[in-house]
Amino acid sequence: MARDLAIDLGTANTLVYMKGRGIVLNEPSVIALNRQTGEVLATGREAWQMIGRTPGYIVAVRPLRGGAITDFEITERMIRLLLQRVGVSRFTRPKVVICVPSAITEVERRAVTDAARRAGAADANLIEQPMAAAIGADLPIDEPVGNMVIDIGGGTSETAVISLGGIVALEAVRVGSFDIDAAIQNYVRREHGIAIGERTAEEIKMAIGSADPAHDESQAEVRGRDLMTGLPKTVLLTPEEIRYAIEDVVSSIVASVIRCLAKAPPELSQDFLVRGMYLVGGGGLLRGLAERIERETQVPVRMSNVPLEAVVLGAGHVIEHYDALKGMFMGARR
Amino acid sequence: MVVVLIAIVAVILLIAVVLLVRRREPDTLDSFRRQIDALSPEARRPVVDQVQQIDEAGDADAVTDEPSVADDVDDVNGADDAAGDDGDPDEGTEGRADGT
Repeated sequence: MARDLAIDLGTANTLVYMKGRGIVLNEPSVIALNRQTGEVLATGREAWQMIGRTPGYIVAVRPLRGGAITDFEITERMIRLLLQRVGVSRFTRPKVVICVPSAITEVERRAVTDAARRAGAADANLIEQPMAAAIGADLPIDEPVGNMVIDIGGGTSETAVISLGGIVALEAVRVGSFDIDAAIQNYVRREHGIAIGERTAEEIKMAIGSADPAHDESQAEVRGRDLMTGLPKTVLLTPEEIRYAIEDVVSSIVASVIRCLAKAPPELSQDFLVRGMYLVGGGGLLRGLAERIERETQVPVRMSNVPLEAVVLGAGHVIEHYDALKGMFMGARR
Repeated sequence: MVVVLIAIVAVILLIAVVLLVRRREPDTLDSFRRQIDALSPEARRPVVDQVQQIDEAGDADAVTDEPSVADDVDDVNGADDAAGDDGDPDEGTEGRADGT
């Protein structure tokens, strides 16, 4: 008998929760393929390490972008491999709950459920990421009070107001931490004339990236390829430069939080001043982002204890109480 | 006779409809209540316990895996550079499916 699964199919990472067992898999959403034969060479962490370092016949791809499937066939193969790795076989077909951004279209929804069914799931249902995040972050969403959750992922940023087990207000933008990495790449290319890879940009973000000035800031030495000479070159980047580079992305995230606050009913708005907003998702770990949102909204921002796992833990709770919570699936309420 | 039969059938249908409607109302309420109960702190206790376990494990990792940072300058390329990350943006974006 297969154990049911909850999957956080993120643009950056995929996490799998197995009923009764907890989180059994946490890996980057990357798959490496042989371009000529179409054969899968690696998935997850192993494939992530190949990004930007592969010979011509190997391609390491992220099959999801902005939380949506950009390559159906590759996503299906990735899900199939993930399910195999957690013990799903042709004869054990589990029920699967998949977390997806709330802003995905009907076509994108169907693509995700079809990919999961074809990959071996007996039944596949979707749940909105902010809702799952609120459950996983242990917010009191069963009470008639305003709970606000900001989920900043790799490709999407979603803010939701939740009360009595339902979403009251929602705002989503297809901007996330990958856009921050891309902004850093573009800045270094434009201002310093060197090309850096996606992984290096991410490392710069983690080392000195910030959304608000801090006291203990240091510079970063970055090596890349000089665009003029083609030779390796080293430059020194300051946190101010990185803040300038990522300002557009950060502003867009903060603006979406403000729009969501504006959509919330007044009775719930007053709860936020007391209870604050909760930040989850890998993008929420950007230094100074919580302070920046707090400064611009005048509402306290708290970081979840488990920012990276909150979504899959919430979906895991749903799979543990499948019959009672199946009304929360996308489409079930409409 | 026919009129009596039609009246009986009509009454039976009416009773059936009333019963169906009555049955549906408590179902909706019941499922909402079950949903709220399943979202209560008590029902979420196993997940919360797991959250705490992950949190504690994270704290332990933070103590053992303290990142090594130079005094004033972070070397973001680190040792990986030896593996040949020339930072080609085209290679980097190739891994991003649509190259944004």
